[in-house]
Amino acid sequence: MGHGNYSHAAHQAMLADRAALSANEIFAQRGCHALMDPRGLKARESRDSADHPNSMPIVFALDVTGSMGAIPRQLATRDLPNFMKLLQACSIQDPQLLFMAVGDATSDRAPLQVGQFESTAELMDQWLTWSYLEEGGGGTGSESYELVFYTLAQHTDLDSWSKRKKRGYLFMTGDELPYPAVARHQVSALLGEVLDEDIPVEEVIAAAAETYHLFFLIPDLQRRRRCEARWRELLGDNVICMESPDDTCAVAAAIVGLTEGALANLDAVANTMKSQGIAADRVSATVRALKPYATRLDPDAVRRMHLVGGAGAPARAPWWRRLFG
Amino acid sequence: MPGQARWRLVVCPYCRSSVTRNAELVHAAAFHDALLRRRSQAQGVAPTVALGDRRFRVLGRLGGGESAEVYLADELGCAAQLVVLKVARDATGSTLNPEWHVLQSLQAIETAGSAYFSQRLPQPVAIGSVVDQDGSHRQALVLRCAHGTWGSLADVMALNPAGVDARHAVWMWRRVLQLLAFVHGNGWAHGALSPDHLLVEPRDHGIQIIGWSRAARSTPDSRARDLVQSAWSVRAVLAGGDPTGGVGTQVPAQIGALLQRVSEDARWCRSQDASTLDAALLQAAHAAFGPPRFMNFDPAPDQRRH
Repeated sequence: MGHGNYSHAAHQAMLADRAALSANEIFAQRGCHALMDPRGLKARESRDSADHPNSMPIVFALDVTGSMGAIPRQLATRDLPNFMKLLQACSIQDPQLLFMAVGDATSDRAPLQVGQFESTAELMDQWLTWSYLEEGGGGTGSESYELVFYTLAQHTDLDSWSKRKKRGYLFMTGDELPYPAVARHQVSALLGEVLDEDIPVEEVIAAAAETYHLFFLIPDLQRRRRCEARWRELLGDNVICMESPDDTCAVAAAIVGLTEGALANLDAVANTMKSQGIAADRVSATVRALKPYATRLDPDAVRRMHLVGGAGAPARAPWWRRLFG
Repeated sequence: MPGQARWRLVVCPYCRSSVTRNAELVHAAAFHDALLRRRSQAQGVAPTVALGDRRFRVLGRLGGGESAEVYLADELGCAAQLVVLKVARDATGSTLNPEWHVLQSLQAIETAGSAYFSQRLPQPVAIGSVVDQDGSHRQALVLRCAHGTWGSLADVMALNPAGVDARHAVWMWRRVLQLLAFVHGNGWAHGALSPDHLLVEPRDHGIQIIGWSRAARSTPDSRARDLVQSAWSVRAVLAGGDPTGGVGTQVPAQIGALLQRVSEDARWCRSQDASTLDAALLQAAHAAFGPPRFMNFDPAPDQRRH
């Protein structure tokens, strides 16, 4: 998969008539599309080709439960061309996008949907809009995010990794917790394969992290409060707390740019976004959301913090200390 | 062969080999091995501190309080993240427990503004004991790194002996008052609001309040004390190395008068709250400097020049 060339103009034209459409009209599936049904899935392949000699696999795993429907719609009506444009501005060559949809395997009809890696606007858009926005979720406080990690670890094959030892990217959107383990009965029911034991979520994340940079994007600060702590235990600074779901694509593109070294720091992120016509308030919000991750990548970040040499308290207390008892 | 061999690996009772009848069986052990590989990457990195299963590489000392030393550290392993390690000086006891519980309570607040303000308060990650170099166990509190912060107002003062510009002092005090309004409004008081406990974010003109070991449920007196201490902190950063702590002639009169009254009249502060003082400060700043506008703040101007 991944043949053909990307045209930003063609992509924009495709989306031009969609602004007035409702989510139900854009996402017309009323059940899992047969080609996104993971049952019997062997592998989704991201391959190099003559047109794309340096394929860069990027996976968007979109939470399609009731509370998270805004992001797929924004992607389909407005943001996906902007994401591709930002990647181009960062000189990221040959991106190949795969869309997945995730829900709750304890209650939903289609809790896992898997597209294909694609390079052209038409095919990216096709898989995105073939996603079934079930808007379910079981009210358990958890969704089946762990199945995404399992699928990527077990059922994707990346030339970027096998030929160049370059990991792909997973951007998973969500506002709930993962279940503690990949349940073997769910793998059997959804993928049709036999798993000998349940797999703790920490282990399935470790397996997926061998070939992907894993990121969990929380859509706003209010929703970060119910899931951030657990996700940080699992993914550390790769949990990105956004201020608005509107920032999803800018955040994802900036992460790729920062990680690949195309953007040196957050100033470069801001400048690139501004040059692409992104509104100043969204630039600021994106930069704020990326601060923890960018700090990790920046070799000078720790130096810029005011570290104190030596041990113990200063020999002579400053004058103002007596005021604070 | 046991029947379970149809769907999982079983150990053969004769040769002790792991066997299965299902040629397409997915082995969970392969995922476990991935986790072990990931964890092994953290081995051999020194110096490290272990807290339960978690390992941290200490990057430097951030400071020290009356009961603990504070370090910047990198959590190693799968969930790599920058954290702050607060290690108790006392080898016995549980001196960090109160702070852990207060921070958890503050982070659990669900009221208007909590999504914003909870980011300006320390986020507790874990608590446990670490082994010191001499083999003794010390209690340690792990906090999420306050990203974007440069250092404390005490550090700013040390590097700005002539004091900071009054316009910077205005935004610093406003951020403190806004945070205090949230904290007081939800029934807590800090109790030790000194320049050591105010971290500055130069880029966003933000302030984070740390050092919550003396925090307690608020009373009119404790709220007033926080307000008084916030004003003294700002006076200190305005005065820099001036041991009189004077407001100074460069501070506009209206702002200076407000600072002086809040810092010296605790009884009056009992009748005020942080929001009211913030509004008064905004008004005074507007009268002195005009509408708010962003000014770049360099906490270490002399260091930058060298």
